[in-house]
Amino acid sequence: MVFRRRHAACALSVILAAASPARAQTAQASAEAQALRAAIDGLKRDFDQRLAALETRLAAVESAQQNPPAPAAAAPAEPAAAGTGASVTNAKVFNPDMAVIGDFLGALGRTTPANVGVTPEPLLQMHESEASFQAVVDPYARADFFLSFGEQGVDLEEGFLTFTELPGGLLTKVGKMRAAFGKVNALHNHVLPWTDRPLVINNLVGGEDGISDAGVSVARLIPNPWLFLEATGQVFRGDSGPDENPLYRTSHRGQASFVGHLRGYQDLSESTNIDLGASVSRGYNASGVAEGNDDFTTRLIGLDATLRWRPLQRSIYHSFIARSEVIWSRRDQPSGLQSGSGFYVSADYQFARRWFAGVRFDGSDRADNAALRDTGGSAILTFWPSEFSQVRGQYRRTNYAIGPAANEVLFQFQFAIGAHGAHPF
Amino acid sequence: MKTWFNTVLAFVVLTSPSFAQGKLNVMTTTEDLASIAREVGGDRISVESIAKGYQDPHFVEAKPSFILKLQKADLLIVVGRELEIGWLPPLQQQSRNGKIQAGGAGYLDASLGAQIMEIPTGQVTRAMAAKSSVDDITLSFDAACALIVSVKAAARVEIIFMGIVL
Repeated sequence: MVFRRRHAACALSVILAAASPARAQTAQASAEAQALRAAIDGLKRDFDQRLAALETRLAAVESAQQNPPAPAAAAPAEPAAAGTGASVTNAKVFNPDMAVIGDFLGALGRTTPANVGVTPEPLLQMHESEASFQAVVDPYARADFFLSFGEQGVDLEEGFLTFTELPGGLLTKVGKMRAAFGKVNALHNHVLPWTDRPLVINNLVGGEDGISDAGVSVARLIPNPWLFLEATGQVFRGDSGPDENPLYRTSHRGQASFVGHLRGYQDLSESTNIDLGASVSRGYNASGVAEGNDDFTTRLIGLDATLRWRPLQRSIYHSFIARSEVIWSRRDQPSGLQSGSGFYVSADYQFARRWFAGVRFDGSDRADNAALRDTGGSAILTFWPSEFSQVRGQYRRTNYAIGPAANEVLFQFQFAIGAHGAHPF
Repeated sequence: MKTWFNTVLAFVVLTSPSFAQGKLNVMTTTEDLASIAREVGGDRISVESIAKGYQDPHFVEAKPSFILKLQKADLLIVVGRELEIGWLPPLQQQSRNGKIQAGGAGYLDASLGAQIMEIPTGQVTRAMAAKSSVDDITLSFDAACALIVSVKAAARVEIIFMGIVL
């Protein structure tokens, strides 16, 4: 019996001795599993917390989009914690860019005598208020409208549709637009470097209204390895210029006017570039209509050159622009063909961030009587309080063909509110 | 005459650098975006920035020479948030390149989806420019933003590559 007990104890000891390593391994595996489970649980909790935070932010953004807060009257702007570019950009998707640009003009000094055929500028005038509406129409086109509010009425300065990706690399515009004749004709008042337009534009190219008409414009880049070259062809209804002294006037549908323009541009260096252009235009004038002759035409040829210098590293402080245009006019008149010409040369230097100084010399024959020639010169000083307003003073001396010289001081305040799209270079 | 013109045209096209190299043309508005694009595209793309690194990106001139570069671009990456509104739209419009128009397959606005910092919540007026110049309101890219841009750019480059290959 004792022998049996001893054997039983020995057998139990052997079994326990043999089983102890396996038990240790099982315990270790169990500990690792628990650790992994704990890690997974921790990750789950962290993931759930982050997901909940993201869902809360998403709900807040969606709520803000559905119920946009009313703008506080005079609440100070406080930075918010977060936001994406997409959420802000989408806010104006259905509204065009809108802006109003005011142009206030004053004139002092000896007024232009009324008998020389030139309308003198008044002492003070709200010369123009330009309202602009610009937006993308669809993936194929964009629209631009510019309404000009004067003291006497409203005029559609420009309103056109631009197709940006037609076959053949054609850039096509339809609507009412300023013609691509030279440089100044295509510029709106608020981007002119002067308070007025040069004599050659007033005498030969329809003045402030210029060649601006309803029509179709097609422009194409001409590929070449040397320079930027663009050819533009435009067809207009044929009515341009002010009512009292029109450049082109039609008597019937077959009297459309045409404009052709070739532009070459080249960077001379990183800071300097040159822009050259040649323009032609032809249309019918109404000078012979009273005598029963409605096929009198006016033909224009123009050359323009612009030299720009703007050092990139100091581009907001210093720049220089020299520009010139020469225009020849051949106009049928009841008295015979009138062949006149005119020019302007201008230079503007930015000597500080907000200050510009410039000079201009110009001269021009008159379109309907080329024997009369006006000449003039101006000195201009411009101050920019900000990018959205400018104050300009201009001393202008003009030797009109008839009458004494006019010495005038013109001053101008321009100011912009809203988002006004950039104009072509 | 027509044959002569076609011959000259073919010579010009065939000798253009991008055609000879067969690379994807990527244009960016700023140098930092160009740097990101180079990291993504490596030697399979040619990258150029419109604004130089030492230039104020608010006041870039819309030179016609940029029109020629954008005309050949397969991808245009912009900072967005209307940083380039003063000069880029006329360039895009005159480029005659439908791919890089806003919403086009080759147009990438880097600000979309990026975390924008310090967005004002109250009314913002230009009068505030007197206290802090509007020039100082800029978009700064941190590493996370750059990562987002690079991932998006990589995806867009891949899509455009596939489009060209297919």
